[in-house]
Amino acid sequence: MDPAEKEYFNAVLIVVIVVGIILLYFVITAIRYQRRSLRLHKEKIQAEIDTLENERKRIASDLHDELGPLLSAVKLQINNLETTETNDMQLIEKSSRHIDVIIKKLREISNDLMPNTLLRKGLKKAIEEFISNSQEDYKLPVKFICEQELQLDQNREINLYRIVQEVVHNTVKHAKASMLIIKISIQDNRLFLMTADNGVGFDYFLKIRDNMGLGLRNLQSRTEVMGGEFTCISEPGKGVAYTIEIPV
Amino acid sequence: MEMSGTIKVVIADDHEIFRDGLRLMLQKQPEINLLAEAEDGKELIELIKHLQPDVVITDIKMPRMDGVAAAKHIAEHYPTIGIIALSMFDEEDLIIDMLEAGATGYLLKNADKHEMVDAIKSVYNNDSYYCQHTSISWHNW
Repeated sequence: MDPAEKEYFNAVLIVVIVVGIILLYFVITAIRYQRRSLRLHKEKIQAEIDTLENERKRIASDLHDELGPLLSAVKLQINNLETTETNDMQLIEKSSRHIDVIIKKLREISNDLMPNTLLRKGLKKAIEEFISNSQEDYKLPVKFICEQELQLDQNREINLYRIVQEVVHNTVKHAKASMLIIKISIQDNRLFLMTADNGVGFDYFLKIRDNMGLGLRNLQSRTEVMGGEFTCISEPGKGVAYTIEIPV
Repeated sequence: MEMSGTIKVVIADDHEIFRDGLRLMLQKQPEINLLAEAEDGKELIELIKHLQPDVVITDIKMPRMDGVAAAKHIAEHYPTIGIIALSMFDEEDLIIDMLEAGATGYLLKNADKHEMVDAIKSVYNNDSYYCQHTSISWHNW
């Protein structure tokens, strides 16, 4: 190689190295940016979920601890009225029944917003209670299997409870199923929440391409903030199976 | 039903308006003598020390000391006092906690007047009493 060629070769090599370094810098920056934006996205979802759940807790507690006793006090007071008039007695009786209906409704709303059982007794009891209540309302047989005791932090318990609620609601609303099975198990520090129904199913890829729907997005977001993986297996006519796997 | 004199009652609830309603109702019952009212479990225990009632009616959720802790203390130190748990809704886990703590009666806050009086009389006569409105099954108790 003569000196001119060598010089040319060196110049090309330097240019290639510089371009390479610049490219590498851009790639690293892009990856870092991507990671940062993913982290921010996750933090944003977490913040949104926290705000939502805190608001739910506050409203549920106001309904339960403030409005409930007030209504009961009003019922006690009107029942203390003394009258011998039949019409007045009937009016008192009717008003008492109305107050009972309002209190029952308050309980349902408060429980939907944030079940006391979830905060006091944990996820397993809360899911059992939710399924027992929803079977009365929806007439959908739900089998819940959980053989281990679950000891998770409250945020995870709330997220998993919401996922179960969403799956039950979705199944009742869309699946036309005659059975839903929900199973929770822990293996090697991973928690698996698996659900399966025998309903009409749907085309998962078509669904995420066209319109994912709020329900499905909620399942994904809540799994994501727990650092978990969400899988949905479904085909038309073959039911729906969800698997949520999170580290514990 | 066996009635041996006036039944001495103390109530505990953190909502003044609810205590007012309960007081008005109980004061009209000839067989019941409402001795005092407490705002929370700690006050209830203080009152019991001096008043020695026959029956206490206590809310479950209260500040400072809740109904479960108060019922445990009463059942341990004053076993002859009948305890009735008062709850806003029929929440199974709360009620079971109260029964385990020593309550023998349970009432919803919106129970009818005659139910409240029946509950007091039953617990006074060492019988248990569970509110008619509850959806909870009692076969284990």
